[in-house]
This record gives sequence, structure tokens and C-alpha cells, in this order.
Amino acid sequence: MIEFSHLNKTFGDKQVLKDVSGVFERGKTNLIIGTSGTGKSVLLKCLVGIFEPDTGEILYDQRKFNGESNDRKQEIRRDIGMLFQGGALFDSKTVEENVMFPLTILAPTMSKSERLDRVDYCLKRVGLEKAKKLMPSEISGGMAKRVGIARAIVMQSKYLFCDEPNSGLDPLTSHVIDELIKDITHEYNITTVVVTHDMNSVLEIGENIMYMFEGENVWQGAKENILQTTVKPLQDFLFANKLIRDMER
Amino acid sequence: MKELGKYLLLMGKLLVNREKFSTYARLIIDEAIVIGTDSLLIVGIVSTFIGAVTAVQTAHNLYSPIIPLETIGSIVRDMTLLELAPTFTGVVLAGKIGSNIAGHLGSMRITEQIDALEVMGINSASYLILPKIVASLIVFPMLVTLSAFLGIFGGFVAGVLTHSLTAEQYISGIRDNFHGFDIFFALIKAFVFAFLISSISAFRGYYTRGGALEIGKASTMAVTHSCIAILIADYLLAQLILG
Repeated sequence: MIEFSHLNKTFGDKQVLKDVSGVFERGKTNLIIGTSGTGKSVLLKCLVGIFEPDTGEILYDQRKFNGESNDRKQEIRRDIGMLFQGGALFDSKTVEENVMFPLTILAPTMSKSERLDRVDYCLKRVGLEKAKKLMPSEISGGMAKRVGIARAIVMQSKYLFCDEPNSGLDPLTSHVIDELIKDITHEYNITTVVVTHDMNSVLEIGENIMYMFEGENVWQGAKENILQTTVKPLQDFLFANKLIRDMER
Repeated sequence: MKELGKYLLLMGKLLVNREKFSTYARLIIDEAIVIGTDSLLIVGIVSTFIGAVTAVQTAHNLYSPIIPLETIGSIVRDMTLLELAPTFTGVVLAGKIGSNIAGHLGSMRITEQIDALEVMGINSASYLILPKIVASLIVFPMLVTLSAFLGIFGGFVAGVLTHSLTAEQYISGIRDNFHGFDIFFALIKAFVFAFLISSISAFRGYYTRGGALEIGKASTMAVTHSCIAILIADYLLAQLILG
């Protein structure tokens, strides 16, 4: 479980996060949704430690994360896997080397055959066992995202973060990625946090949803309750989507 | 001053929370091979021609019958060792290696590869920059040594082919009144320039923000700032050590 309270983050004179608090539950796909520029990705980057929040507290299963010493942070970070918007694969390494990379650096005591087995398992899990010798430049955007997921779970992470996993993908590939994220979350009983503004994803994989508007958490709850919301910005966000309008009718 | 402070903080970050030495060993070897092999041809061509031009121009300006022709060899040797080999190699490598380092790190920053390292709990600055700096410190002195040899050789070929002096006169000139310290001085310069080029370029690349355009800007700034730093360090070293 990830708990965060009173997070504030300012860049220059622009306050991007305004007193954001919330809880992301274990074994569920927790979604952060909202229109572009509302601070979703900044919140995600604060949670994983790429940005340091100005104030507030982040707890990973009761372990304090922000403001801690580097050693303490590293300990928690090694339980974190993250899928970046563009995959963020290392372009000088093959698919297999990309997935193996965290093990090579962070698990040096593991034998090479164990590492290869783990990589094979993860690549098989995302359906890319035949692509392991390819370079990132030789695979599609959807495949790159799947490699990113394999790399994120190879360390048997307890927390999986996904930054707009569907951006730039066709609906079919988006669905494959969504299903994969949902299945992995339940299979490994991990805490998954997904930043998205794709309503299809919200309806497909969202279990615990947080809606952000102008840097604030204005609504958080289960998917089943989202359509009953009385929060105006969330209503606008939802009904801008044709699928939701049709469902309402 | 703010940029200088940021640069110094980055240099400090290279030395804390590092991974195990074995992790770096392979990276250093890989970087050294890339820097060395990629630069051999250009360093070779530039050095040979600079030596040749120095010999021909020195011969052209020596009209006094009381100055022995052997002096041409001595002048080519001293100019090559003290200035041309380290500084020209430095400037050439600032263009070639500096832009490469800045472009590579800039592209890694833009495509979130550096963020990915950080999220994994790896000190990205140390993992990416330290091997480049160490590899440069190993390879640059080798390239400067090669450059000095080829510069003096270029002077020999040009001097003899243009009949400015005989082979014996040139060899006698380069052996006459030779100070071993000049080689040591050239190597000191090589170490200093290696550190400046690799660290400044890495700094520019590591903090790239934006898109493809900014990667180009970072590369250009890396080369410009490295060249300026080389020239300032060149003067300071000459003043401190020889002055």
C-alpha cells in the first residue's frame, strides 16, 4: 500500500501539486486520471523519487520514502518497477539485456543461468520471448511498452508504476497492455499505479481511481462510483468521452 | 556561478552511492574502446599535417645562414610536445568526443532512460558519467602521445620531401637539447583536458531538457565550453608549470 499526504510541489512560481493526499491499495490497479497538465505525471514522479516534493509525506507499506537518506530510499526503490511513457528502453542493449539490466546491477549474487531464466519467464509473460535478441529500434511502440513491463517486474517489484501506458498506441494494442497490467497486478498481488487520461483504460482496468484537477486530488473512489460523481470537473472529464455518454443514455 | 555550482554538485554526485567496481570495469573498457578507436583516424590525420605544416613554415621563415637547419627539427619537436599535440588533440576531441557524450546523455535524458535508472535505485550520474571520465583519462594521454609522435613524423616527412633539410639534420634537431619534462608536461595537459572535456560535455548532456532541438544545443554548448575550458587551462598550466 502507498499512502501520501499533503504533497506540494512547485516549479519556479507554478505550484503543480496542491496539498495532494491519497492511498493506493495493494492488489489493485490504482489510476490517476485527469486532463493534460493537471500534475498527474508530477505526482507519479514524486512518488517514485524522480522529483522531491516540497512538503508532505510518502509511505510505502509504512516505510517513509521522501526526505530519507539515499540508502533508505535505494532500499525502497529496489521494490519499485516503472513503465515509462516511451518505454525508456536502453537503446544500446537488446530486449533481453534491457530486461536483465536491473538483475545485473541490483542482484549481482544471482547466477547467470538464474538471471536468464527469470528474464525468459518475464519475456514469456509479456509474450515477447521471440523478440529477445532484437534491439529497441527494431520493435514497435506496443512491444517496447511490453518490454518495459517485463523490465519493471523482473526484480519481483512490489510496486508497479505506469506513466500513460497507452499513449501513442492503437486501441487493440492499448487493450493488450491494459490487460497485461491488470493481470500482473492480480497475479503478483502488487500495488499498481497507472497515470492515464484514456477513458477506455479507466473502464477496463481501473479499480481505485483518483481524479486530479489543477494540481488537486478532487475525487478518489471505486470505479463503480465514478459515474455518480457530483464533482463538476470530473463530470466534465467523463462526459467528454463518447463511450460514457452512450453508457449514460 | 549557478551553473558552476551545479557542475560541481554533479561531480560530487559521481562519487557517492556508487555501484560495485566490477560494474564500472566493463563500462570503462567499452568507453575507452569507443573513444580510442573512434578518434584514432582524425587525431592521426590532424597531427601529421600539423607537424608537416609546422616544419614547412619554420623552414620558410628561417633565412639566416647563421641558424643551423637542425633548428627546424627542434622547433617542430618543442611546438608539438608543448602545445600542438595536447591542445590540438584536445580541441579535436572536444568536437568529436564532447559532442558524442553530450548527445548520448541528452538523448538518454529526453527518452527518460536516465529516469529509469534512478527509479531502479541506480545513481545515474555515477553509472553513466564516471566511466566516460575515467575512460577519457586513460585514452587521452595515449592519443596525445600518438599525436606527438605523428606530428614530429609529419614534420620529418614534409621537411625532407621539400628539401628544406636532410633526414640527418632533422633527427639531429629533434635530439638536440631535448628535455624529458616536455613529455611529462604534455601528459599533464592531456589528463587535465581529458577531465575537462568529458565532465563538461557530460554535464551539458545530463541536464538536457526539452526535445531533439535541445540535444543539438547541448552538444554545441558542450563543444564550445570544452574548447574555452581547454584554452584557459592551457594558459594556466603553462603559467603555473613553465612560467
